[in-house]
Amino acid sequence: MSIEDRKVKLVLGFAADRQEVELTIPDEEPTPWDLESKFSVVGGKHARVDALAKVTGRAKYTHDINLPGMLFGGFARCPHAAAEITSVDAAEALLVPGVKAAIPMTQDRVRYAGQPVCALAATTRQALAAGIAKVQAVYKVLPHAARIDQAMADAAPLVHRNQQSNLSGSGQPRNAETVAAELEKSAKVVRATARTQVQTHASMETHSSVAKWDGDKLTLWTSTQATFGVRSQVADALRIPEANITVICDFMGGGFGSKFGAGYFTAIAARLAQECGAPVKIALDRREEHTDTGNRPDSIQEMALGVSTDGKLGAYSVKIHGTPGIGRGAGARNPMIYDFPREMRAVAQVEVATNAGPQAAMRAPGHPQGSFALETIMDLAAEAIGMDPLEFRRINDSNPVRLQQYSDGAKRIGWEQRRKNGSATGRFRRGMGVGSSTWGGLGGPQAEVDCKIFRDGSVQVRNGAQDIGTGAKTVMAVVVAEELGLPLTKVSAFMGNTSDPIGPASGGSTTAPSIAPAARQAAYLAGRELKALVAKHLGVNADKLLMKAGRISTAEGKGLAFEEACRLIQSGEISARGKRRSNFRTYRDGVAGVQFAEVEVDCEYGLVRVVRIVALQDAGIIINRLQAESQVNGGVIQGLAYALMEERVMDRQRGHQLNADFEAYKVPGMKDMPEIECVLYDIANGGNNTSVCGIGEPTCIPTASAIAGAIHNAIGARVLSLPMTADKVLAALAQRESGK
Amino acid sequence: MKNFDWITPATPEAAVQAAAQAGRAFLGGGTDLLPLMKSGLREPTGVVQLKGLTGMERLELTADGITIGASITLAALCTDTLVQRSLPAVFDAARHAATPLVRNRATVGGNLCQRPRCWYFRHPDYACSKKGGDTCYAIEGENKFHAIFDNTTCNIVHPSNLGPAFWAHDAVVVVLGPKGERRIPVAEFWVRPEEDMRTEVALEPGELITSVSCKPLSGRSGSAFEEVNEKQSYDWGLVACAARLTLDGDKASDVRIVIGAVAPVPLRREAAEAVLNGKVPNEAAAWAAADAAIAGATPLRDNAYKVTMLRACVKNAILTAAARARKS
Ligand SMILES: Cc1cc2nc3c(=O)[nH]c(=O)nc-3n(C[C@H](O)[C@H](O)[C@H](O)COP(=O)(O)OP(=O)(O)OC[C@H]3O[C@@H](n4cnc5c(N)ncnc54)[C@H](O)[C@@H]3O)c2cc1C
Ligand code: SF4
Repeated sequence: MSIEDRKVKLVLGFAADRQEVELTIPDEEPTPWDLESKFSVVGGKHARVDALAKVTGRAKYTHDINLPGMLFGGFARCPHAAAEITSVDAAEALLVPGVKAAIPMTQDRVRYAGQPVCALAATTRQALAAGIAKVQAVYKVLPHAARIDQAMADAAPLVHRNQQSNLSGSGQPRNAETVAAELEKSAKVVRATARTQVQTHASMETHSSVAKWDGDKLTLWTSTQATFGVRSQVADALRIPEANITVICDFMGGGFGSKFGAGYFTAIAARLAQECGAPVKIALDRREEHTDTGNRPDSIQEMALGVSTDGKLGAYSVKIHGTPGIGRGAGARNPMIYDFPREMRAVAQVEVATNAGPQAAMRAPGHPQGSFALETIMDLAAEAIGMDPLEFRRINDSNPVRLQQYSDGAKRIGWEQRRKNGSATGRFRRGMGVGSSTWGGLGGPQAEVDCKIFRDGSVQVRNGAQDIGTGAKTVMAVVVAEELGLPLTKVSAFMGNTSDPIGPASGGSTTAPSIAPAARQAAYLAGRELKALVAKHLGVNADKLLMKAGRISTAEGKGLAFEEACRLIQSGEISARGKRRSNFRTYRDGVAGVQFAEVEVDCEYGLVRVVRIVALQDAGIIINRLQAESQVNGGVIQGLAYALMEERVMDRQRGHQLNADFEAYKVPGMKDMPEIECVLYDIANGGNNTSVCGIGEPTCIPTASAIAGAIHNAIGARVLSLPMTADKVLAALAQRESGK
Repeated sequence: MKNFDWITPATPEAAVQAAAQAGRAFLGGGTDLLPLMKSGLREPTGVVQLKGLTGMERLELTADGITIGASITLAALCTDTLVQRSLPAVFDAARHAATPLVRNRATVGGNLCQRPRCWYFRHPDYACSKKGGDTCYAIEGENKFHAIFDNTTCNIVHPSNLGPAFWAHDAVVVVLGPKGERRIPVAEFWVRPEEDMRTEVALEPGELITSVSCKPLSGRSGSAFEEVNEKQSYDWGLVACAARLTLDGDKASDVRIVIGAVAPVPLRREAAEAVLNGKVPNEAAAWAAADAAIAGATPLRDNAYKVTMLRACVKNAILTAAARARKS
């Protein structure tokens, strides 16, 4: 403990489970917020600081960036799912008026339909399209395996030349033998195979970049989840110093995990711009967005679960096949939500390569897939032993937050009115279901934030990472306003320019928990400087000064208004940098969530209407309730889409995605929306000085599972495959009828 | 999209004259033509705008029945009280189509002439039979949304909601062409793939739909249009049915049952009508008629569910029409 370190006592957890901890924290760190903290700005419902700019169109997204003399870049793409490239010739394309440059993309083989083979830049979009049409590519078409069933078939065409099989994976999982033996002995064994579909990210704003050179300096406007990542990747790709690159992402129209990387198109935009001596914009169209920017892998999950007659979980085995397209990483995550004995889980993961665009991280990667399977087998097991599915979860879940959420959620949804599975009759049948989630989202270094206090009393907070629409900018402003005792309107927040201090990639729900503590520390340090000026001016001890309600004063009221205090600043501004330190002790190592669904099934048409979702979510201390609710709503909506509608459809004949649009790729609309009731838990999770945890991803995990349980309850049959469209519901109903 | 001439005639006659030149296309609301042009499926050399042409925006009771100008929008149709009262199936059909945004632009003429939604047809990289190739990819391919009747050569389903509803009201399509006016009974308006693969409607090149005339309800009668969608916003129908009947005492007479979204063109189901004619249109009779309506279905690998769905859809359309007739 250095001289400046100090000891603080905190209360972590929540009302039903308080934990007192003692911490040693360094001098520059404010005392962390905990369960006892009283807030005036934090936890309120604040419109996002850029709301007005967004709704008036003043906010400029990458698509809106139009520079003088700017060219339009785009790609000629292969119309075959697998082919050898004999030649790519852009000579004729270059003769098209307006076409300025062409860069063939060197490769000898194409492995999915829509893979780019040549990049072009032209003065107008029409000229670009005309140029693309003139690119002469000669292919030798090869057999393909665009769908998981095709890739798993005997003698399937090989997706990767250097592999013996399209399947690769863990082989015999750990504990396989113990689990198999235990299953033999179990009182009851339930088996099922759950299937999930490929879902695309379907961001409203497609992937896009604008590249502009000034001498050897490059400015990139790009729609990204990682401004700093783009900077280093483009520096690598172009072999130029990172120091020469500025990446700007002022506003962003969705990423959901698909925009972590610079993408091939960003470096190409920069190359084209260099070659043409003019700025170049590349903005993918909807078809390109669906087929070539990532997706959530599908899965086939074969499960066996042993349970005792009194409902305790025994051995669990699951074999998961999933396709990452030509990429890597297609695991369905089956996390330890419920209390399985650790050595009693055997999880085998097999990746199935297909001739399709590579997967990308997508909102809680692997979790919605895993959740659908796990909650399916949980519901089936509960049914098999004649136990209420909620009760079954309660007795197998020791997480205190979720236990609270189970009982709160049950009350809100009216669980006691839930009838036995399949006991409803008539055309419209109602049912209820439940699903759970776990997520990390604790954040950590590296994140730095600058806070500036100006002589006129205004305050600025800056970080160079991006606000991907989740409201990170507003989170910073709220934290700074709280720390300085100001109303939110006094604080201007800036994000999305790599000239500002470093910040995280927006992934794993870590942006807020990474930058908020740095922002708070920056405000704390800046505020401390201001307090010192006031203390000197008034002749009081700086330690006795509080920053509250727009004043800097002692408890007795001796002090100055914030504006007055700022006039004491000599040098024009106070500027302080806050740095995110690594996590200290947390209450739990992640966040907990539970969702309940009520559905109504039209048994004549097989249509499912989600009547209500009750989403109970923990995200540490809630910084901005309005945005946190908005994150929950968004997660539930995406989860509902996953449950009932969204599905990438690949043609078995020629391997194209057939619904690479917003017509047959079905994203729910207004009329498909249920009532969403959002219950947030202010849990002092500790870990950082704001106690905030991420909320972006966990909220989309259990929605489909809860809906599946509700359908099961309503019709007395399980739909084992997502999305649970009318055809599948009708099939499940028919099967139940014929089984009677 | 290729450059094109922009032509703004003032009268239907001038529009027809302008369209006489090969390669020109009429533009109603553009909700289908523009997407087709953007994806390169249509490349007209000239676009003839139909907005404001004399007589094409009327909606009135005439000696012919209710005359609906071809430029009337779906939004206008589904807010009109005359339509609601006298052509309830048309009212329902317009109201269920697309989204408010689309309905504000989409016109009656364009709705009848819109091209199929088959995803192979709409995909620029598939040269299927309908586009001059020699394969219907839907037969072996992904055919969840395709036809369950008359599906041997081309498996499209006709996407128009108004088609079946107009037919249930014995509509006549009034057409103006270089050779003058023609009146086409709606039953003869549709073209099956076997007759001509390249089109779905019986218009000669350059012919303009000026209006559609429908037979209004009279006496104790009712009509209804029922449609099933996977999504309740922004989606095309999986199956649809328009039904009309008149009550003779408590028995149904003069029944029309027309199904949509299940075959390359709307289909009138006379066998189902015969089952219902002379019966009390109750639940049992409606199911019996529905059974007749689905008879002969030949579903593909992935769309057998549509048969089950259609059966219920026909039943429900009949019951709604009957309930309305009882109330009239
Ligand atoms: C999201 C979405 C959902 C939809 N859902 C449905 C649905 O559920 N049910 C449904 O029925 N429709 C649906 N539609 C289709 C929509 O109703 C049609 O696109 C629309 O009715 C076409 O009308 P339009 O005036 O815009 O036609 P345009 O696009 O202007 O024209 C379509 C075609 O008709 C020709 N044409 C237009 N007017 C005439 C005329 N007077 N005489 C001769 N030819 C003419 C044009 O040359 C063109 O070939 C949907 C559309 C969208 C975008
Ligand atoms: S159904 Fe018709 S439009 Fe579709 S692929 Fe077959 S031939 Fe082409």
